[in-house]
Amino acid sequence: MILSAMLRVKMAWARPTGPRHEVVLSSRVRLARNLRSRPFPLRAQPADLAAVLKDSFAAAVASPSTAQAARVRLEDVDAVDREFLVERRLASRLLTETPVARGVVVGDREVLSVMVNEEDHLRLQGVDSGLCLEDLHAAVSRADDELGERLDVAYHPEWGFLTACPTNVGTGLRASALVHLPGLALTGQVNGVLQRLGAAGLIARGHYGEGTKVLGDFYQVSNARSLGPTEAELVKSVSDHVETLVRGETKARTELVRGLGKTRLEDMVFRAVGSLEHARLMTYEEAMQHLSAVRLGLSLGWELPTDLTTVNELTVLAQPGHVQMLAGKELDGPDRDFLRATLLRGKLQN
Amino acid sequence: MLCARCKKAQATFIVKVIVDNQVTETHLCLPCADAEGASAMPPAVAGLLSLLGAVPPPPKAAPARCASCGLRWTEFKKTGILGCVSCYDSFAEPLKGLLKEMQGAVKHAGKASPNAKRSLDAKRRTDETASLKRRLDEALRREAYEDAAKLRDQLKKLKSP
Repeated sequence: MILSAMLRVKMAWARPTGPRHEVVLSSRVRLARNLRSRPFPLRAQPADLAAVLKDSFAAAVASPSTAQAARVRLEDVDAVDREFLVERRLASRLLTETPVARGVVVGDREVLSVMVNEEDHLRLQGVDSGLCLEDLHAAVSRADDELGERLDVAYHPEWGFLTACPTNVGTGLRASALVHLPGLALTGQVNGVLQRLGAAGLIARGHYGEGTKVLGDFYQVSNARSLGPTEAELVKSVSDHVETLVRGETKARTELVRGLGKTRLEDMVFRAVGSLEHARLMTYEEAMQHLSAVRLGLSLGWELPTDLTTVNELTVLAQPGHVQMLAGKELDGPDRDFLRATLLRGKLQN
Repeated sequence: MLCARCKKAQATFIVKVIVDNQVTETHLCLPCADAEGASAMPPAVAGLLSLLGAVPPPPKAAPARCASCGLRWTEFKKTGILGCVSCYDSFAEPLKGLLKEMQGAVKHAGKASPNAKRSLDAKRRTDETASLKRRLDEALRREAYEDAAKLRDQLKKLKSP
């Protein structure tokens, strides 16, 4: 019930109000934490998991940052609701595939949330619009301190916060930005740019959806290391590199509009608008491709029958779980594609 | 399950592909998934697993299992996931090498947890109290009562901050 109410609530990160929102859809900061006295979730007994969930929810209620947040036990909601939480990036597959004694804490506007009994006992995350890693880190870190006052968090004087996977040990921090790079992709520069990020100690990966093809030129950029630098240094490094990406992408877009390819670009964008406005069946992959093109047109300031908030939201709403949530039941492929096309038409003709 | 491509190595993850709206699942080992350009695994974890292949096993003297949760080093090598907090002690030596390779560092420089901060503060307070008491005794022995009074005030302050 809480979840279908969330369908109506705008996701904070979808608003095109954050810094550099033409290129950066959203920023995310995650902290991984564990309780000292219990095995990590993947090796814990059901009784351990239940105790962690109980203690974590109790700590969340008592902490100012999370006191008002919704607390959802995954075993209490059905499969469609779980899929919805995954697509909303509030829960992971790992959490929904084994829902017993797992949960999420979801704060106001879905900015701050906590996954309980994922790979680690606690995964705190902050997500918001545009490039805002520093602010998010401050908010998540505050919530972490508050929870840490109430829970016996595993901490090692040499190695910092102990995590199930040693790739997260130390700060337990992953700072990432979801960037939209159609300009760099169309000008054939995207692979080179991403490789340079890799050489600088960052991880860049495509937003794959369910398949292996990069969907709509959306990429996730994040820090690779978690131990050694301070949290602030890690956050700043990702933020600085994303700023560089934004400059490159903006330059590529300017070149595209100025050059001989302008007509080709217009053709691509307006064809996408046409498909979104008129198609009767549309797969998730095709929808993402068109939404990417429309997003590019909008951020170039073109007059199109939609806006950035709508397009940002549609990249989430067009996912299979969200479409089924709208239908209120599980649907097979063709029915989903029909409902998706109907949703997209309705949103674009508003 | 064996890797669907090379049919030799153990498949470590599943690649899901959508073709005509049909999801097909393929179970692959890491090298094959990389070769297919389909590393669905977070790159950091994929990197860890390939590093783990190269890391020497714990020395004979070290325990093959975690004393607390029973996780074997060989299991960790397969999944990249430790079992509990004590695994970090049980496998301290090989982990140190792994962290150095993977993270380029073995010392945390970020913030401390509130409980660690508290115990650090408590330790600092105990150390300081002991030192003040020593100096107070000495001042009293020297009959330097002015110094002693100051030290006593400092001690009182430390006890009720």
